[in-house]
Amino acid sequence: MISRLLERARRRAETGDLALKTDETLTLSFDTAGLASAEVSATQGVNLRVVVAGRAGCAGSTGDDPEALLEAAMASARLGEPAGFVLPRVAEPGRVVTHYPRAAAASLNDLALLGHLVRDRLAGEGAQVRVVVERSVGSVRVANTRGLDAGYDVSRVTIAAQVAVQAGGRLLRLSDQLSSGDVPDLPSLERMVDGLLRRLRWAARPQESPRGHAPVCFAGDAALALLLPLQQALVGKAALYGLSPLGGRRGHRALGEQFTLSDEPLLDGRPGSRPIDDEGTPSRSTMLIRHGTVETLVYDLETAARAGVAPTGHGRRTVFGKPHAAFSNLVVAPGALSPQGVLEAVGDGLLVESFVGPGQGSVAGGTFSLPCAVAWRVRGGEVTGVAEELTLAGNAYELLNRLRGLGTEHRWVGSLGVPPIVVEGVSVLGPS
Amino acid sequence: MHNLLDDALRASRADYTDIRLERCWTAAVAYRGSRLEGATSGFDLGGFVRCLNRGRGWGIASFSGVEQLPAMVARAHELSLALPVERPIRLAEIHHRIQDTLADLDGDVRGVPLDEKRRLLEQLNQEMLAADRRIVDTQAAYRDEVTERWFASSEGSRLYELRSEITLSAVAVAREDSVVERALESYAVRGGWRSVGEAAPLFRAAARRAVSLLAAPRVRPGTVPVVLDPRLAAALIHETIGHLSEADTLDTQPELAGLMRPGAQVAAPLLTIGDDGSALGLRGSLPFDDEGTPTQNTLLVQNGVLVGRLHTRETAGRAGERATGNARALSYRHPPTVRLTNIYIANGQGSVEDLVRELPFGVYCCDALGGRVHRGRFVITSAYGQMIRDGRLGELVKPVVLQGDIVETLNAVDAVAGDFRWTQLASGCGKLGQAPLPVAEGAPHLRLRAVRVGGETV
Repeated sequence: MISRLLERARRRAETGDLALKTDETLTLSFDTAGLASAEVSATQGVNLRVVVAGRAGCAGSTGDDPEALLEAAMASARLGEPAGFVLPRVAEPGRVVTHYPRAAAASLNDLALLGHLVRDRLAGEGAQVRVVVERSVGSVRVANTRGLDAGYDVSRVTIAAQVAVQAGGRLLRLSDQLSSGDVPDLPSLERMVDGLLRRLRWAARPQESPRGHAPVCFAGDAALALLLPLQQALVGKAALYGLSPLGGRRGHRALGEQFTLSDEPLLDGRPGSRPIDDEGTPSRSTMLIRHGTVETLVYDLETAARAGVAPTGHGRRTVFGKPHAAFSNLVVAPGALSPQGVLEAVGDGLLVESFVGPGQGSVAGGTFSLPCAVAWRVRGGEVTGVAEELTLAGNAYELLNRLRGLGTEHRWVGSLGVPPIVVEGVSVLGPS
Repeated sequence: MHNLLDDALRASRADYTDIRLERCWTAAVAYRGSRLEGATSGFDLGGFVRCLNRGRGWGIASFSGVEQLPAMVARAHELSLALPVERPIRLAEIHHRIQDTLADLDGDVRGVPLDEKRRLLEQLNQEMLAADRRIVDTQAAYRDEVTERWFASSEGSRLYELRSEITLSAVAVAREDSVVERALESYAVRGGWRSVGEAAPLFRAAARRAVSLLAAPRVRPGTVPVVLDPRLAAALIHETIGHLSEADTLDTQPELAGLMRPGAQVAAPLLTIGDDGSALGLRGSLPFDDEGTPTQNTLLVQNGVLVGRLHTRETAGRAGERATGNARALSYRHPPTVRLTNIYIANGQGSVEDLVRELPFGVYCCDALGGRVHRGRFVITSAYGQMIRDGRLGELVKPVVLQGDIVETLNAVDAVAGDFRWTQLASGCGKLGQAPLPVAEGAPHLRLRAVRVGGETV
């Protein structure tokens, strides 16, 4: 279908490009009693873009009628904006491993064994347990009428575990996950389980929380409260519309000097890794914020042309709609604080693991007010137990200018790699 | 498609099999300011198979295209066999039917050129841009969708539905000096091109409100009497009693079992609340759900007392209750779970003026920007408000945050007006990664004796 589609596009349009994505995902869910559900999903779809009379249009389909898809893209192009971009020709893709034969070949039994292993160790503690094992195998093919025809295979295995325990009269849900291109090794799984068991012990000791302003460590999921506003602000389109607080600050210090953020598509086996983006631009590491100074925003072909800058290789396509700019693996550079150093940097404050509903509402300005889902009380540089229900409020831009330090150890939340981030002066409020 | 389904069901070796197939045509147009952001269309075709065997769990397979259907039935059966369960899954009995439901497409949107849809949206967007010099940005969106869905089960159901929907949404941004305000409006209609109606007033209203909010003060934080307009009252009920009434909520949040026990007085006696998937022509209306169960009007709260909850066949079977027709999936890519359809608060008496007249001081809160529920408490942000002084509506105020304990707050309702209306927004409901699911919400004006207002918006 791909060759036929491109051939027809070549005859009727000035240029055209497409992305074909296939995916087969097997998901196994375990509860305290054992394997609870098994689900397979096998999907594929094509997103086609054509340029007609200098204007670009898009259409997508999961069906198998190339003529109808081309007609739909042509109709879209007749209404499209002038296409100021040039499709890439064959180019040297980035070097990265995205596919692991062992992960792709793992049987249902192999994967179920991993889930049982995690569940068995966690269920021994008398907590409610939920474990999800997910293995995806797929491919991405990007081709255009200028001769590019590139592709790569992808594999990913994710193991997510959650334990729920009563803590201070409420149910506390502790969770962690491992996600990589290959099947995780046993030591990694053991580390994840040991971490959950350690936190289960902390959960048995309810503690009063500080009020007013306190130093807080944002760890793992909780870092989203600080990073979601940056993610929005670093997309070139937000700057084009004047909506990015960082758009006009390239070359200027906007955040604390200890803060460095980059996009890393060429890390072997990470969930967002890829040798090319979905428009065929070769992938490379992109420094976004270096030591607090804004260096680059990210662009797809169209927004780069509109902004008059070179594409950065961040085009993302789903089956339906237009290509847009998106990050691959967003990585906060680690700092110098050891795990003990992180707690000492907090001193008398909180270690927050997750919030309820980060990203809801308007996050662009950086202001947040979020109830903590899991927060630990830190005193004298030690975790003394689970913090009572509380809400944290602040502004991500201000807080990232009040850094006490960052940890040495990354934790991966999907395609976000983040060390513990310790900041001071966070507003701590009571429940809601 | 019916033959394809019959062949696949005949070939299944599972004790129970059901199959959904879907074919969907979409078109979308978006403007940002005066710039056309895009006009695109899509075609989606795929299916979903579930198999269940005695003493085993659900085996599930979803797929794009339809040629994989026979292989996917075999995969779903194999996966079910791999799942020994301690507690057998029992599906509540339903009446199996053979039925085709064809909506009136009222000017099939698939036959309307994309440029005509663009022209409609351009005019509506222009209404916002031309409303006031202080309008500095707009977002306008048009989307239509025609969906065919087939459902067949090994128990004998053979169902088909054809439906069409159009949504329009408006965001207006006004700025004066350093003050920036946004206002949103949206609108959804079940039907085709001829059903769109006059949408210009909606877009003008968004622009005017954004401008009016520029000079509006913030409400002073405190605990005060409030009157909720039908949109906000319905959104509050959707987020609180609505989601808590989904039977699977207690599977994932067993700590709420005390709060949601049958017979509990969860609201003031003036409040009666239900969910009606069988109501005609609304966004959440369906002839049958994604397990083939006919939809119905389910009473959830009667005179403040919890009397019912919403079910799939599995949750109903486990609870020993009847399936309510609330098993819904966003698309063939997802399994059905317990979801709302059209939630409503039953009508009361009198007008909004009657509710306001008795208040020496309070806040009239309108429309919802967003909200969340956590451990029996809620936070919801209205899109705008008006002060109430000496029994009359006064000055406009910026978005008001309302928060509190759900049961305490719903028990504080002391008046329900007789001006019920349905709200059908372009946005939908989200749960377990499935969003936006089309739903409608209906309510009259409500008055509450005391609610905590003020604080950060969400």
